[in-house]
Amino acid sequence: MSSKHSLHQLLKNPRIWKAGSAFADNAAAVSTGFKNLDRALAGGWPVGVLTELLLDSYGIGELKLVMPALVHLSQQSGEGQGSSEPVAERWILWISPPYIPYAPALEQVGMDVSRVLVVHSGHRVDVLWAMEQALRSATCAAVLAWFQAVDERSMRRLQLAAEAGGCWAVLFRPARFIRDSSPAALRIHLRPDADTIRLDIVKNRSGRPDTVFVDT
Amino acid sequence: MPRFAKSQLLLLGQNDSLSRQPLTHVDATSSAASNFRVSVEGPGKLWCCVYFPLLPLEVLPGQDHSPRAVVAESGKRGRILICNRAAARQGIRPGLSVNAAFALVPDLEIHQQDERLEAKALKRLAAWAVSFTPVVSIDRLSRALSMEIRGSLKLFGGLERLREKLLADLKRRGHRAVVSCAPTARASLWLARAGQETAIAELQQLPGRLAQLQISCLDWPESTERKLRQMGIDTLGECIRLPRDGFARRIGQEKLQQLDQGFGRQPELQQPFQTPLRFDSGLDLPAETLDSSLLREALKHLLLRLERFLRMHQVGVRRLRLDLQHHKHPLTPLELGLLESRADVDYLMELAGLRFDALDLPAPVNGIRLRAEVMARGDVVDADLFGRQRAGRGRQHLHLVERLRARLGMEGVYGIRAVREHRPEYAWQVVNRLSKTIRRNGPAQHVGKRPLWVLESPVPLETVEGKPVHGGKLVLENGPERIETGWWDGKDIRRDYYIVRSLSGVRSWIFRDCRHSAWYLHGVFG
Repeated sequence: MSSKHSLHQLLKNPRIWKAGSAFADNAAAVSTGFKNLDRALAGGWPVGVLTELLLDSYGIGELKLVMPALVHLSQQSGEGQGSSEPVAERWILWISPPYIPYAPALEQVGMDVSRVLVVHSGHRVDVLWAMEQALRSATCAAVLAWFQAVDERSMRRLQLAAEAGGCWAVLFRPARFIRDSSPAALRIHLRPDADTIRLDIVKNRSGRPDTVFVDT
Repeated sequence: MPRFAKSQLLLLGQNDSLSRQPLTHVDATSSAASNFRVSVEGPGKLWCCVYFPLLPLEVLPGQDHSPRAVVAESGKRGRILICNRAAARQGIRPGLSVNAAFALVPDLEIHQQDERLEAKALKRLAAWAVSFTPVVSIDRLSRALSMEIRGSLKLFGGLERLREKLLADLKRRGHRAVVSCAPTARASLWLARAGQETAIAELQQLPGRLAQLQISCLDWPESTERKLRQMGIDTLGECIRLPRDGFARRIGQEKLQQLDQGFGRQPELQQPFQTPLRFDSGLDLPAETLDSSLLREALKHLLLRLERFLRMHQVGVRRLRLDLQHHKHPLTPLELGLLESRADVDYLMELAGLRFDALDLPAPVNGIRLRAEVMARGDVVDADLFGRQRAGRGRQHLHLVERLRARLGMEGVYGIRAVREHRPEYAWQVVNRLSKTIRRNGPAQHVGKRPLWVLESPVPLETVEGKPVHGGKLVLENGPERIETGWWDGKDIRRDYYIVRSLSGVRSWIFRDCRHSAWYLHGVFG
């Protein structure tokens, strides 16, 4: 009896990955806005962990993939609802994006542009520092970052920061890093496939590897 | 009789300290002090006028022993405006012509009145006066300060004590002043000009007490004063009893209004003095150093000074400038900008520390100078009883911006905003003032599909057989969308926009400039 009980206790630990049983109600997830992807990711984009999107060239639809969740987060007022304190605003942070996020288009898809904060820096160290600061500050609803090379130690720091701050952290990286080991909880390889995007879920802490086609 | 009341002239002949002596009541100072027994609790305002009758002399450089006099800058030219005691002893009187004065005292020093210096001195005095009350205004023409002190009485232990402290401070600063109090600022000024060092606490007492004052205390133009005297009017009481419409017609509506304000029948407007607070403090290091921990220690010291200063003045700081001084090297300036004014050292230290980390010092540092350039008044520092900063939830997201900017620089961190404009490159703007809530635009205007990414400026595309290429052949998906506008400011455009897709699956937004038939890449759909 007691041994069964302790086994239950053990299985509740989120660090234990149970093959085959996806977490049906992943509370700390933001719906992706695509039903089949939500199913594959057990509820949506995981929050409080690092997500890595690997792709060959920027512009194949990766922004459209994250956009429904971003729009949802930007319209969300902070956690302070119900209390007398003013509701905390939370940023949608873009760290060293390859191009400039175009405000009229963001408004077209329904995003609250006043939450968008763009960070640029020529130094890789500064970019990593900025991302860690942002993740830890717990004042960002989402942090999107575009890096080239990141060593594993930095990745681990970012992953820890994401856990501490509890925000949705997405790292866009070139697909050639797919073979490198990464502490990110979710790694997805994106490829354009006719009018859809093919998502190869390479690593998924709360589910199993899978392939999903998303029609953006 | 020029600007001064008879009583003051009498006083210039006396040897005693002006500041201690009541001007008209030649009897003891104690009677003046007893005039200031006013109950602390009381309704309404209590204005305290600090009048500096000798200011034109006091602002002059040099010693005050030899006979000196000041000649008016404007108006009564060639007449003595004011003279010091040494001159007064030898018979110089205000209003005397310069020639007559020289005849009396051949070695008289005559100075031109310097109103600029007077204004500066008054500003300095006003900055001092805010340590008594936050409501201070300068009356430059009358050479007086008006302070609303009702709220300060309790703190200073009553009006008598407050007055004693005022006068003692002023004496140390080398100014002689007349201090009078009344429920209206103008009345207190009249009292002070008339040399009545007294306090009128209640509005009801005002008409009775003011009635005896000579009209010279109004400081109206000589012609007006003469006109009134010819009418047989010598005191304010007689003045106020005149028929109002006749008074307004003969003397002027504005003068009538002044009287009404002084007697408390009309509200008065005071221009509040805003302290141009500046913090400037330096620290010489005991030895030249490159050690950032030592520099931090020194900076911490300066920031603690700044904190004391800010708390004292109930203000916060928004912009800090830090100069690191080197021997035989131009100094290294550091700027720290904040989105909202703040006064806690720990936070400023953290931000400054971030700058220090990113700093590349050209030479060892031998001194640090900290200047706070912009002070925001009225932003009361958000701290609880024990001095702890309340963690304002609504503010934390701004702290992130400040922290990022401290290291990445102002231009490295920005927000964006959509603008109602058809030209794509002007349809968005960078937002730097992130503390303000941005007014949201209405529903997005009806335009064609726009890309999520935009290039800072359009990039020319190569063409193969007249068709644009970008990483291979481009497949047309949508278009054209003609955008032709902007003729009014010379930056007009005429473009056909297309949505194309490359072989690698990248959807981009390109246009053909119809005037040059050239192709450009402008955005990526992402």
